[in-house]
Amino acid sequence: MDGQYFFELAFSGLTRGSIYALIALGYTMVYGILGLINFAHGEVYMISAFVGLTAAAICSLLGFSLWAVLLLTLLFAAAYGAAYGYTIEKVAYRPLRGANRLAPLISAIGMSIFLREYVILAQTADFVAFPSLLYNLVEVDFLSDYIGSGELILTLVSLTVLGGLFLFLRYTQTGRAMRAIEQDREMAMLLGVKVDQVISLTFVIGSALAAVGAVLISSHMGQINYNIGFLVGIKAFTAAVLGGIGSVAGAALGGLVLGLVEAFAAGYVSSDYEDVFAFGCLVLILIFRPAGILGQQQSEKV
Amino acid sequence: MTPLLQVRGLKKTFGGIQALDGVDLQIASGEIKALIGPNGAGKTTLFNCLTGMTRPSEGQIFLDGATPLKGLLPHQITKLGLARTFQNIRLFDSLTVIENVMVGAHCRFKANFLDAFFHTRRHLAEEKEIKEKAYYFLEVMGLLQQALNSAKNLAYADQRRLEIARALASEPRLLLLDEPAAGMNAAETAELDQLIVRLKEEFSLSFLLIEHDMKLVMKISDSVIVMDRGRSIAGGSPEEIRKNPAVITAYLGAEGGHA
Amino acid sequence: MRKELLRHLSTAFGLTLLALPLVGMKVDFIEKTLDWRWGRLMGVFALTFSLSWLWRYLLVHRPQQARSSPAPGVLAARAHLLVNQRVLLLLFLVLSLVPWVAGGYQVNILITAMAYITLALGLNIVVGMAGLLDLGYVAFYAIGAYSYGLLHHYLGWGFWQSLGVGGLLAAAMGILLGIPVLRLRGDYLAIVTLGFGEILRLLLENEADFTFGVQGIPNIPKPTFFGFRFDYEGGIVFLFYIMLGILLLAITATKRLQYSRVGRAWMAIRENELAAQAMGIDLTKTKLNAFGLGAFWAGVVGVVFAAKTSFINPASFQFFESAIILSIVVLGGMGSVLGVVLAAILLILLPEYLRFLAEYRMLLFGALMVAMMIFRPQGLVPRLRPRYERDKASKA
Repeated sequence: MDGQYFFELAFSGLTRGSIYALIALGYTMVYGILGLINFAHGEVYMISAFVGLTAAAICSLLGFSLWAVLLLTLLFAAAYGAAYGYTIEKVAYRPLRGANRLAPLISAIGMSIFLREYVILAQTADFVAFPSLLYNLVEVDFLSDYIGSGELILTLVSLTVLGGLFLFLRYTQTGRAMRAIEQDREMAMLLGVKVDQVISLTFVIGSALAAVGAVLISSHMGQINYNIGFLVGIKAFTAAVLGGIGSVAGAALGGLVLGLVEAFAAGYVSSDYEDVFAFGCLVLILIFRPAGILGQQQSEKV
Repeated sequence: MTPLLQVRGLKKTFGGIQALDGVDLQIASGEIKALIGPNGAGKTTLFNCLTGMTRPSEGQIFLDGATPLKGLLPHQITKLGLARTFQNIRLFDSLTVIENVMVGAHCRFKANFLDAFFHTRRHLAEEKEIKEKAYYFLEVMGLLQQALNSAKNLAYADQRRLEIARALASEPRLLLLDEPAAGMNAAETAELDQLIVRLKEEFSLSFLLIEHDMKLVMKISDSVIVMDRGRSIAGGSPEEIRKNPAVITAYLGAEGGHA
Repeated sequence: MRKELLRHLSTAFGLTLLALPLVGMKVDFIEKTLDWRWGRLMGVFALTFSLSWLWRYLLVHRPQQARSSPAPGVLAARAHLLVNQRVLLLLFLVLSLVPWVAGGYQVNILITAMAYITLALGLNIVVGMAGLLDLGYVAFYAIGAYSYGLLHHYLGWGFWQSLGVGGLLAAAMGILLGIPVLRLRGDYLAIVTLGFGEILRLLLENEADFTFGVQGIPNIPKPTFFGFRFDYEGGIVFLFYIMLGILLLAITATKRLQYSRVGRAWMAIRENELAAQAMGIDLTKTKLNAFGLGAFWAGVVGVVFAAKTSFINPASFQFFESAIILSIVVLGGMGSVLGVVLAAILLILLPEYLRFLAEYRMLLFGALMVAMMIFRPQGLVPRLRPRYERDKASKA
């Protein structure tokens, strides 16, 4: 086995995986609290990419430095992603609280279709170029054989954001409230946790993370269109399920595992089947171990 | 005479928790047996094991002393003649009352989708019979007036009755009732106990019922079995149970004056 | 009143702000240009402002019951009275005259509409009646279409043999894919079926040696009539009648199944799986029945689709095709035949005739799906409950 190739694949897997992890967190946090698969999450990701494009263009037209462009783009996209996430929850999910299980899911699919078409109509149905914000920022010597400087920054940024989220969930009042609702919504409500607010916040945070992921990966790929949310959404969802949906650490782990599986499958088997592997993973996990790596097996009470 | 249902050494663990820890039980044909015990004693778990909804870890269940029920799926067990109701009512909410009972009769008929598509003679004859049967059981349970209402619009006591009607439609030999009187007032409970006795005679049914209402238990049951912490700790006539010191400490003592 | 106004103004302002970078600006990174489109933005503001009023009004006047339970209203009862067997037959007679008075274009559109109605009726068995949310339904449609395409290409088979094989193959696949997902809960089932659908499409794309990949299969012939080959126009008309016949069968099947032992078992599973089992319903058999039958109709329509377009490629079988079919079922009212027909007309036919709407079609689809779930989860025309009245004779 070629060591160089192996490490290249490993780093490529790590890069993808860290992005999947970012997006997976949105799915897993919402599922943990509402028991809902937020089908429109991929669309938030896609919209954030478009917002990021606009922001990046404005910033560079204004002649900011590369670092400033990257940071402002990330901030702007995250703010908009968060606002979209908040609005989606308010419009499509909140009125359905307490309805049967399928209603919010169908509503989510409807929202997802709506947002795709919205972007097609507002912007374009074609691919558009996305600036590579991550390159030429730093010179990296020590890993340059295996990973480009852009990928390195991408991985570092997403890992930093992930770390920040963990700290937030563990050490802040709000983070504890989220975990309380996850355990038992009614009990949390009785204890004075403002459930609606916390749910909104969950969407805000999850969407902002997806937006960060969107900007990073779009500048890595170099182009975006209205359809990018679907595949990434499914893959991030796979990551969330892989790690055990509802578990934050699981989502991070699942993202990394999926990224590595994909990279190695593409590298050693065939890159045509990269997506098939991801979907295959998803189907197999849901069928054979729906609780995921870190989740607990649940059974319905009779 | 071989007992209708015989349970020997039934055990069930849920992730380290011993929900059932050796239950022995016999139900004779035509008997009304009450199953009592404090909350968490494993009564509902026992029901689930008997009806195939939970797979017991150890032990045996025999019907007529010969047919093993362990390992069968719920619908197979229903077809052999065990039907049940649920502690937390589980009706088919948006179907009508009559449809609920018609579903109950499902396992006694055979028409498949091709019969339905071609309106074969089998389909037409069966549909007629299913409907008549369903109406009959509604009549027995006093729900005739409600036949065309949604199940979810029924009053609580009526919902409990509908669960029994639905179970009866599967033509059981043994009916397992999980707290049939829960949430009923005194008058409704009194009606229920007459009804159970009537059903026993009319359909030569046997009963196993979980019930907390001791008055009901003492009045209608032929025998009582007491469970505590996953074990059957005592059995006998209602009188014997009332006097059994082990029962008094485990159950009556623990819950304080249910009797 | 002023408070209300302020509230809607601020909602509209917020939403317009959301739309700003997407609707109000357009950048081109390569040309280094930034377009401002204030006019569109004003439009968004006006639209969101009025929608905000409407939304609020509907939300306040939403019947509490509508949240969970489909209760057919008076309207539904009337509509159902109108559509008895005789009216249905009359409708079909009228439809069957269409090719004699209208041109090929109209006939083509009607074939599409009927195809979608049939697809929706098939999915309705799985989602509406059995309550199994299947998001990969388009896979069975693809199997039907590719059955014909491949059987014709490799073995020279005609339409009629392929029609049977396509339907049965799709049904078999429905059952086969149904087996591993039997135990899955609602939303997990939805995702797994979505995954199956995508895997199939990716396989069709990548197994180019066998399926011709993204290039697709061209030159798929129209059906023949006992060996007689029509000219192009005639072929389309013939296909129209075939589709009409299939639709008639699908409607009859759905209606009859609803009032049958199998149909009741499906609904029982939808309502409460555990209780259904306890009532002696074989979950495995009943669910696989639903998957198989639902897939069968998709397969059949797939063969017709291949014959109609005479060219198929994987792009026709994307996830969003499943979503469209699902939205027809949802909009129509789960489990309701009449509703599905109306919804298909509304969603497929109307945009064809209202060209200015065509661009916004999918946007409205999405919005409608959300709005329906919130304001009218029972659909346009909810399923009317079967009466099952007691026969007079047996009462005595």
